[in-house]
Amino acid sequence: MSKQGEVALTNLQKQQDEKVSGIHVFFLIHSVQSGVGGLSFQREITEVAGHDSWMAVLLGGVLVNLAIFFMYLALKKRGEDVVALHQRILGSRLGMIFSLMFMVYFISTGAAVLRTYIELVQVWVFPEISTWSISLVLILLIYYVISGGFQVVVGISVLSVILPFYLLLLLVFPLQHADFTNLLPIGQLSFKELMGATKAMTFSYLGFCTLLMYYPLLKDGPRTQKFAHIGASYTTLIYFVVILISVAYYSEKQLLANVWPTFGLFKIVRFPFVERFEYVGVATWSFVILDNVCLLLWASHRVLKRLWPQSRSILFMVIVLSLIFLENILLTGRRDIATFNQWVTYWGLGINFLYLPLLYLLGLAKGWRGRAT
Amino acid sequence: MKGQRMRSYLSYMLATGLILLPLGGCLQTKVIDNLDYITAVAYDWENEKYIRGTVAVPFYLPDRSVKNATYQEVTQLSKEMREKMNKLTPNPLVSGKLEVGLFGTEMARKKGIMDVLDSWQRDPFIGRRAYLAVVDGNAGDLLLKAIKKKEIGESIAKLIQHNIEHGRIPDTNFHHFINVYYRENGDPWLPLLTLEQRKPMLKGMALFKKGKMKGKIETIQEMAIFTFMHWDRTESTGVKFVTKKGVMGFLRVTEIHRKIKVVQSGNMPSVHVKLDIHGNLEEIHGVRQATDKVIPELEHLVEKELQYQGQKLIQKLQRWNVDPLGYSEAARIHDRHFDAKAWSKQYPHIKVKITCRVHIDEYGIVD
Repeated sequence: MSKQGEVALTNLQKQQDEKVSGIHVFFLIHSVQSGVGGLSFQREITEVAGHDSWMAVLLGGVLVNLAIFFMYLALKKRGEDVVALHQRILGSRLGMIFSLMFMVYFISTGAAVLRTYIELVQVWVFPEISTWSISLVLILLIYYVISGGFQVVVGISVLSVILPFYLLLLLVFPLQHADFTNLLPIGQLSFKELMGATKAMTFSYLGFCTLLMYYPLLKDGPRTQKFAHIGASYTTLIYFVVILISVAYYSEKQLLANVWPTFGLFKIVRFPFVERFEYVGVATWSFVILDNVCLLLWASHRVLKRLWPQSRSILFMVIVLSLIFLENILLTGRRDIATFNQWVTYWGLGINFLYLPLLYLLGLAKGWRGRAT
Repeated sequence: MKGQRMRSYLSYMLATGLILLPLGGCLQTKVIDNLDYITAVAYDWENEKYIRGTVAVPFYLPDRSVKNATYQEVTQLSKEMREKMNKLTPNPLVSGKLEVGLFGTEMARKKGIMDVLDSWQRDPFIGRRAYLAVVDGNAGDLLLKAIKKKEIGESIAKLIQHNIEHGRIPDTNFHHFINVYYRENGDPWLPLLTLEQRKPMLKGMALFKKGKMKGKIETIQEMAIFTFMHWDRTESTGVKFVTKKGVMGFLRVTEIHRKIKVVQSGNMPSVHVKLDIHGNLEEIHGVRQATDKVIPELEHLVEKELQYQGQKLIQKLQRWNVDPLGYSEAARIHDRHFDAKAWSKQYPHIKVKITCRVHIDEYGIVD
C-alpha cells in the first residue's frame, strides 16, 4: 500500500519537475509566432491593403489574442490538452483522427519554416550551397534539441527571443531614410481589403496553437493566461513597428518588388567593420526559426506519445526528420516553396480560425446536453 | 557501465564528425585577398543594343599605395559584362564592395538606366547605400582618365556623401533612386559629375522622368535653390545673392521650413510653396553703413531674388515635365481621391506660387 503511494508520489514529483513555470509561456508564444513570417509579411499585406496595411497587423493581433482566450477557456477547466479534448468531445476513434491531423499540421508547418529559411540562406549568403548539406546540419541540431525533452525546447525558445533582439535596434538605420508621409492619407482602404490583409497577416501569427499541446506541462496552468496574452501582444507590437518602418522606408511598389522586405531593411545598414549586415542577420535568423521547428516537431511528437504512450520516440523522430529532409530536397526554387507555404498557410488558417471554434462550440453544446440530462 | 556510456558518446561524436566532415568541401571558399573588388562601374551608350561598361578595381601595393586597374567591355547585359571581364582579371571579380555606379549622359537620356538597375536590384551582394550618378559626357572616361592613385570608387562616394551631409544636394543613393522611381508620383534625381583636371567633380543634378534623364541643373545658384525647395532637406547650404544696387553677399542657411499647399481651383490644381528660411550672413560687399541697419532691406531683397529664381527653376522643371520636388506627393497625402495619371498630365501647366520669408539672424563676429 505504502509502496504504491510512494511510487505515485515520485511520479507526481517527476511530473512536477518536467513542468515549466508560467513566464515561459510568454517566450513560447512569442518565439513560435516570430518565424519566417516576419521576413515577408509586409509584402503580403501591402499587396492587399496598400499603405494602410498596419491596420491589418493590429487587427490580426486582436484576433490572435481572442483565439488564445478561447484556447484557455477550453483547456483550463480540466487542465487537458487537445488530444484529451478530442477524446472527450469527438470520441476516441474520431478524436484520434483529428489529433493526427494536428500532428501532420505541426510537421508540415515545421517543414515549411525550415525550407524557407534554407532558401533565405541560399539567396542571401551562399548561392552555391546545396540544400541537402545545410538541411542535414540543421536537422541534426533539431534532433539534438528535441531529444532533450520539453524543457530544452523551452530553453531554446527563451534563447531565440533574447539573442535576436538586437536586430530590432538595427531598424534605426532604415529609419534615417524613412518618410512617414507614406502612411498618409490614413484609412484609404475598404473593409474587404482590410479583411483580406488580415487573412494574409495571420500566417505570420500562426504557431501559437502548439499551446494546445504543452498546456498540461505548465505549472499552475490557468494563471499563465496573462503571459500568453502578453506574448502575443508583444509579437503584434514588433510586427507593428516593422510594418510602420517598412511602409515609411519603401515606396509602395518598391516594397512589393522585394521578396524579403525585412532583409531589405538591413541592406541599408553599414558598419565600418561589417559591410553587409544581412549576413549577420541571416545567421541570427537561424535562432528565430530553430525554436519554431523544434517546438512544432516536439508538439507532433507529443501527439504521438499521447495517443500511443508505448511507441518509440526515436523511430518517430527519425522518420519525421527524414521526411522533412526529403521535402527540403524535393522543393527546389522559389515557386515550389511558395506553393508549399501557401498550402500550409491555408491549413493553419482553417485549423486555428475555423476548426477550433467549431470544436469549442461542439464542446459547449455537449456540456449543455450533459447538464440537461 | 560508465565506460560503456562513454564509449557510446564517443561513437556518436565520431559519427557526427564523419557526417559533417565532407560538408566543409561543399562550398567554394572565397579568400578576401584573392578577389577583385569592383568599387566603381560606369555604363555608356555604345549603340541601340549594346552598352559599354567600364569597371575600376583597386589593388594594393606592398608600400601601402593604391592603384586602380580598369577594364572595359562592350556587351548587352550588365552581368554579361562581368562574365567577359573575368577572362581578363587575375582574380574573380565580385560586386560586394561596389560603391558607385556611373551613367553616361547619352546612356541616361536615350536608353534609361533601369535596365542596368534591374541586375543591381536582384543582386543581394550590392548594398543599397551605393551611390548612383550621371556623368556629363562619357562615364567610362571618368574612370579611365581620373588620377588612379586613390581608390576611385571610394573617392567618388566620399565626394557625393559629404555634399549630401552638408545639404548641397538632396539625399541620394541607390535605395533613394528606386524608391522614388517606384512611386506613382514624383520623379527621381541623381548627382551629376564631370571630370575636372583629372578629378571627379560634382557639377549639378540630373533630373529623371522614371528611368530616363530629362534635364540637368548645373549652376551653383540653381542647385542651392533646388535644395531649398526639395522636400527631402531640412538643412541646406549657402546661397549667393546680388541685388540691383550692387550689394553682393553670401547667406549660410541654418534652417528651412517648407509648407506646400495644393489647392484644387476648378479643373486645375495650383501649388503654393511657402519657404521660411533662417540664415547667417557670412560675407557682404558694397555696404557702407553698419550691417544691422541694412539687414531688413537685405532680407526683403533676398526674398525677392529667391522667389524669382525659384519661379524660373520651376518653369524649367515643368518644361521638362519632371517633378523631383515632390509636389504630386504633397497633393496625394491630402487627397483621398488622388489621380496620379491626371496629375501628371496637368503638371506642366499648373500654377506654382512661391512665397519666401528670409530671416537673417546673425552676421558674424564683427559688426
